[in-house]
Amino acid sequence: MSNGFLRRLRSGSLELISPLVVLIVWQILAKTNAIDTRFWPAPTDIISQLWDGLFHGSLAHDTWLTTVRLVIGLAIGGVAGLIAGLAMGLWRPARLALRPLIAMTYPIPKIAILPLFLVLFGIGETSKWMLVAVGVFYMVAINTLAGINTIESVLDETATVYRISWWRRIRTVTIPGAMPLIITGLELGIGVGFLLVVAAEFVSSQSGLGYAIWQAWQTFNVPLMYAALAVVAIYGILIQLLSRWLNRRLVGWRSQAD
Amino acid sequence: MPTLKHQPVADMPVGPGTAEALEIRDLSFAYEGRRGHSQVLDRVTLDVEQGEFICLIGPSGCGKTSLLRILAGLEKPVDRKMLRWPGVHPRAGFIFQARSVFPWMSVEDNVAYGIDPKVPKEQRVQRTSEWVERMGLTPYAKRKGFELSGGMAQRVAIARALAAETELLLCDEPFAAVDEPTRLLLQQDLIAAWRVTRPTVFFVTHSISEAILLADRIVLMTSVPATVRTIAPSPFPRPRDSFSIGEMDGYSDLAHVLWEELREEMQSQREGRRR
Repeated sequence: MSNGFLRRLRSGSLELISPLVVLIVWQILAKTNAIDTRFWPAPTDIISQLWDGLFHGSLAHDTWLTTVRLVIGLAIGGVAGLIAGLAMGLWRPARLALRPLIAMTYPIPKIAILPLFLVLFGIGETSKWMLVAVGVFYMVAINTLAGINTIESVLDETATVYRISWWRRIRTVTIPGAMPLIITGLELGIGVGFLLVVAAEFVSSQSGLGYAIWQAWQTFNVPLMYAALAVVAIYGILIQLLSRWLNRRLVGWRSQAD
Repeated sequence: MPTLKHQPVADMPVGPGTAEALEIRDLSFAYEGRRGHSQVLDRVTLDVEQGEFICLIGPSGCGKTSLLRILAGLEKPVDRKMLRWPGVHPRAGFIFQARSVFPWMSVEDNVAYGIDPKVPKEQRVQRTSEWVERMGLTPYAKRKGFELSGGMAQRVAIARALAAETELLLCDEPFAAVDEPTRLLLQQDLIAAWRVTRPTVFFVTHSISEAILLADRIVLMTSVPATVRTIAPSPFPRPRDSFSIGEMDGYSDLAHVLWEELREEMQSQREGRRR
């Protein structure tokens, strides 16, 4: 086990080499004025800006507000998507009714409905929650349906033979069986939702990471812009770690099930 | 609770009981596909007694599996009145050839799965642990289904079926996908389990020797659309042993007769002959 840990650490640290090289080269080029530091400020300057922003400025607060919007939108869209996906997977009339609607509206770039949502829900928080929710909804609904279709029919028939009630069957067969793809749907949903919330904050907000990036552009504070982008990048890494953890915890059976 | 695994089976009354378990009268069945109607079962008639062990053999694709699925309630026959149960539809259990253990549940939860939720929890727990023990699964009780070998998964499926107080146990070539030594053990496990609660068993197999080893009566089906061709008792006293049963009087005669008839049916299926 410690061996595996060391190996993981070693291969993990190998993966750190190329980003470090990029940062070092960038630092050297910036400090020797080989590149224009108005557009490419030195990494050390970005880090100190990040530090300032997080502990003296509003960057921490902005990150928090964006997170809250993302989580609320994720909850609304995730629950709705799960219910819609389960309904489509388990009940033919629901599939016949919902699938064409989803197929028709899915290709619309979700950001294009932001103005409509601003009209419908106002410029406040609701429009951002709903925009995130819509993006998450499609990912979760489509993947839940696909997940239900991957469940081996023999498991379904086992539940039928033992006359399992429909609610118990959903709890013990449908949801666990579809869980690998439900998690995939959530991961994709978080990605889409993050994109949407930042984009919405660009135009219709006085706070949040998107607002901070937009504000940095308007005041030509390029280091702050990079600092906000760094927060966005760290955010992405954390989301990946979270989904890896979810996968291990909830669908460990999948690794050897086939 | 003594474990019954792999020890010589105690002497018990041999052969079928007396109560009628099931009457199948002129049961027909067809699949409705895109290319139309395909007749699978054609007027199958069979009387089965309570606690009897029936082995079904016949050419592959002849409809044995369809018969089991109808008995389990997984398919609806054309005319449901063609199946006559003495009382209500019996509690059925099914042991599939494919892996039917839930990979995300522990062995215990799998075994407990079919027990009627109306049974008090204490009893459910006790019955589960009894069957986990009888099938030699106690050391693996907390393992998840995906961690089990093929043979172990089938033992869980047997335990699950019998813990559910199944009155009708349907086995669709359950041991076809495991290696020979595992199959020999599983055959003994199944017989030992059957002798505890004595469900009526329908066991589909491709192996004549497996049928003679396990069955009270062997039902040979015709080529598709299938009906009953021959019903032959397997008269050998229990407990039976996989190897010495072959040396008993009448064994090779029975095996030969079954093989001749099975071969004819396979030939006619190959030639696409219709009865």
